[in-house]
Amino acid sequence: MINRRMLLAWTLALTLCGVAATANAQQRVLRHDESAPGRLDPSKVVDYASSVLAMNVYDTLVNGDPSGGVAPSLAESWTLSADGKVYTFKLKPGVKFHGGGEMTSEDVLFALERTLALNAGYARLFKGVTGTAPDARTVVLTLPAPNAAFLATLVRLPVMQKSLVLKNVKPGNYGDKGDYGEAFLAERDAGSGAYRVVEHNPQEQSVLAKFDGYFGQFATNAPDVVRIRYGVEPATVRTLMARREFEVTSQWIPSEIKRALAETEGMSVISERGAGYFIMPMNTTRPPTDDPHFRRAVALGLDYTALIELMKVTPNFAGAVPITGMLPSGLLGHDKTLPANRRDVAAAKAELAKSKYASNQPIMELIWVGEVPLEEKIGLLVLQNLAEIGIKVNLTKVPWTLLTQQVTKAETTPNMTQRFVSAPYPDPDALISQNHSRYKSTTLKMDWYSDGESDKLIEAALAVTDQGKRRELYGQVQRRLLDATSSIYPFETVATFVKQNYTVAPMLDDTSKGVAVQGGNWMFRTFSVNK
Amino acid sequence: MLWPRSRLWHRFSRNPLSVVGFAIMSVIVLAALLAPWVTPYPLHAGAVVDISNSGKPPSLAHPFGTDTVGRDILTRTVFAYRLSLLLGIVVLSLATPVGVIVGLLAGYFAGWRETVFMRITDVFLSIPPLVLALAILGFLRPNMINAMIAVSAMWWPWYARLTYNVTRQVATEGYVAAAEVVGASAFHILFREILPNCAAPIVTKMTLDLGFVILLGSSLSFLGLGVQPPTPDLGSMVAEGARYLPDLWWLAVFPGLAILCAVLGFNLMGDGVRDLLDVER
Amino acid sequence: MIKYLLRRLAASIVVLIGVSVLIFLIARVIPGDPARIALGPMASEEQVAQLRAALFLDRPLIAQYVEFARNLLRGDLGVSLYTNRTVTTDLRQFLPATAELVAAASLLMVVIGIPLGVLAGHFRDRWPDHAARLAALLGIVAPSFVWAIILVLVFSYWLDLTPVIGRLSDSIVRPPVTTGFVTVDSLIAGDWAAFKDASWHLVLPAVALSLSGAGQAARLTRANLGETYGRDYIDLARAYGFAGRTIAWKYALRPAMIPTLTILGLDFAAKLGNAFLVEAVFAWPGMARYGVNAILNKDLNAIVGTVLVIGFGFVVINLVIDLFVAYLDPRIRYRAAV
Repeated sequence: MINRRMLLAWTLALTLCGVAATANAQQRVLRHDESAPGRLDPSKVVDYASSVLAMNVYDTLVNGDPSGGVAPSLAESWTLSADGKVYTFKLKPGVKFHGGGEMTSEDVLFALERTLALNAGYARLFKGVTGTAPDARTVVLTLPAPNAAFLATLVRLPVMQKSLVLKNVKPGNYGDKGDYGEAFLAERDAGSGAYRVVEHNPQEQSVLAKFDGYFGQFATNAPDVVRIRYGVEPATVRTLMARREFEVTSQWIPSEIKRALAETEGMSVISERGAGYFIMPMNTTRPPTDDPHFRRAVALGLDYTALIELMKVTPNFAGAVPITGMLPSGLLGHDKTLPANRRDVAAAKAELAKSKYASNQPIMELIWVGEVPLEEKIGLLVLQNLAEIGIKVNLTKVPWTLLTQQVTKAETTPNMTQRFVSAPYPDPDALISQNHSRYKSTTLKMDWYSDGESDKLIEAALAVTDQGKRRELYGQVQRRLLDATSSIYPFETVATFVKQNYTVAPMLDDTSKGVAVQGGNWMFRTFSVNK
Repeated sequence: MLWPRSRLWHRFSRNPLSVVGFAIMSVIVLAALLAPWVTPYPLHAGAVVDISNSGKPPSLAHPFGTDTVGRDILTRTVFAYRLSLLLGIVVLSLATPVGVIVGLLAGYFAGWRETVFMRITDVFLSIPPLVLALAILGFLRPNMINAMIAVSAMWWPWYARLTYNVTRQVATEGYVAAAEVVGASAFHILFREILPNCAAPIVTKMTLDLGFVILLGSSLSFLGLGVQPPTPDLGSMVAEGARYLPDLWWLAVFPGLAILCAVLGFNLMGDGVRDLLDVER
Repeated sequence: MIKYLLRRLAASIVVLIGVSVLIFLIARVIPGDPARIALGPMASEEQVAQLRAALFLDRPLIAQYVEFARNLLRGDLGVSLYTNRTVTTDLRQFLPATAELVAAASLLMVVIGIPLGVLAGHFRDRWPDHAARLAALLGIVAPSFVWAIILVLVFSYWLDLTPVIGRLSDSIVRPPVTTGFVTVDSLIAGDWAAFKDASWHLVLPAVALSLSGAGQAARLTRANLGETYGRDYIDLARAYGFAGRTIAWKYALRPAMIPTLTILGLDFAAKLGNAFLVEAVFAWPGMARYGVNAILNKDLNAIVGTVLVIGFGFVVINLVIDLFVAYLDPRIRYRAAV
């Protein structure tokens, strides 16, 4: 009886060992993974994964430019009024939407209205902006105040087809606009980008297909189909890469796995840099980090060379590079003359002796976010470094959701936290404004340091358009903040990925061609799959 | 507990495998207690970073290899036994009695007690451990004791369900009816007649659960509720090490084997304990 | 019997209401502001306030629950902030995937675990028993997702036998959805190639998920088999001259199955929520992963929705098991009907 049943099980198992499906040979496919979930709604983009989707499915008036500024995209040209408040954009003719029909200025205005109405994603950047459409190819956007970063922020305003969205509205909270197409745009697209959405499942995968009516250029052998998988385990990605069933990994897999893959025949590491840094904010309101001498002791006590070594992907591929000041190399205001990080144990001990916690020192609480295992390694190194100068540290792991709660109050914000930051739009304001006091009680400003003068400088740098003047103002902000040592900026980050060598990704293969926009180097139309 | 020369030890040791299990557990407990003296790099149980030595395969200097920041895995494994065993033993000794008593009462007394107890069990089963753990994190201090309470709270319903269904069956046996006829107290029937006959599955489940609880330690520590790094625990070592398979295989394999030893030892010992209860019946 | 069933059904509804209230409250105790988490740190206070208002989070708890209950009665679980879709859409899409995986795993638990336990019980304290013990314990020393990774490495990476991710290969057209189980759907559609491909995708995750349960089933069966083998009525049956095998099945195995099935049943329902790491390894688009992501992002509506489904799973499976136990030992059925 038992034997017969087991035999049956085995026969069944063997029958299942049929032939695995064969790959589809005719099409060029690019397979890639990202952290879950991919958000498709262009007005709700907040993270890397959703940025990559938006960059490919939708177009914006301007794109990031490798030189640091912006380049024309949907807008052919633009002019700015003398008072710095009115932008007039001339739109490119003949831009087609995936749903048929040509783009007009109405569609641009609709994107702005919808973004402001939903008030999600990067809506804050466009607060108070109003628009008019004198004719089908002209858009006039009026700003509440001059804003030097405005053009750069436009990379966060994807243009969508008004008629298609309005045709698909369901009942909702937005008056005559119903749900403003929220349900529709969560799963379908209304863009004009190089790729259209074939299938979208926020936690499984997005399948994109080349849009033949695209107004711009495709690289030779650009992928016909792009499959982005969400939240795949590193060991799985590793297996898929080895089986050549995957073209490019995300940056989220551990560097040990990247190293193992890089040593495999036919694969190499690619990267993007210049737009991000690693920051360790110190809560300036809680002992012992409320004392500037103590904070300086910490800053002088860290071993920055070892940290950068820790971030290495392979012996000759960096995952981090030294930083001067607080702006990464790809942005205006990056200044090599600003003081660089250095370790000086004697000076650190001297600062500690000067602090009010020289004799009776409370334990410093350093946290790392459970979702980012790399932060544990960094935390351990910090623990070891600071032990050498006599600072006691308690390393604690917290889930992200708990951290978002802790930072809402100064009393519960940990002494020292860690965060990887990258610029959402190609302007120094994207990063430096995170030091503005208005971001207190969010994860952007975990040092609780308020300095009216810095706030004013940050605002002033946004209000002037002269680049030289801006650079100077950003220099002043950086010096001020570095002197207060409310946060430590240990290094500029280099996001690394592993690709199959038969894949070409120009903006990632050569970092000098990359742009300082989160997700902006993942324009799949620039990729080639030479398989 | 089980001292040599005692009557209990005599019965326990009739099965040589139980003695093997006892020996394994003794070695493990002893090694864990004496960890600072028996491990090659006691400092590595804490925050040591040695990048030049990171991710090295097993060698004479590091028989179990080193982890991604260069710490000796043998040392960390032995130290990890401390918290992992503590977690396992405390949770089981909290969850089992609660679950067993609820199950016994519900299984023996039909009617409202059955309905109330077992439906409450259903409600507890439905709340995912992760939700409970995070909720606890919301208003309690994240420390080991709260972690243990959280795990126990999610663990007892399993014993309740198990005991309940076995009790329903055992209660139909002749000797229970006989005891009822002679007017034995409910207490006597529940704990002297029924419980010993439920012991086999309960003890077996306990010996297996030691492993499960140790592994659950990793989910808790992921949430920052359980053990905090740099202090090692076996569950987290296996779970985190698995991400580096197959290249750094030693990260997960050795802690995994360490759990196997503990579970095997406990399991063999459990069989001996069950034999003790068998004879008492 | 009918009376018992009716009573259980009534109690089940009470249980589900209890679960809904409890999870509604517990989910709100999880640290973090759901609106803030969904909008990201860049969002302004005003944006966060607007979303909180839209979610009724600015109302008193009672008002929130009334709103929730009213929507629930209409079958509306609200919108997930994590996927930006309605929770019912998400569950409809993700639940069948998890259910299929867990069902396959449970089948394996029974098919592997019980024979292994019977074998061990039969050869008590001899080498097959020891081998079975070691095999059973292996499933317990590493979490299922570690086994998942090991299986992927062995069968997909080194042996290059099995597919790695998803429920179907990219080149296979998905059969029309009737049950949501791709294997069953492809059989209904008569699409043999799709069935083979889907089963082939299902094997590794199901095996990985089944190992711990199979190990438990084997140990529990073996332990109880020993117990019932020793009972008086077995001796009696043997004395009457029944064939050994009939004794093993009818008198030893059937009652011995009670603890095993109780635990297997719980395991089945628990896996609906616990399979998330295995789902992550195989990029399986399941509900368990959705639930965990919802929890970690404090996506209130999705948490409540997932937990209600899992709660329903427990209620149903426990009822089924309780009835089955009565079937295995007929004397219980009589008692239960009283």
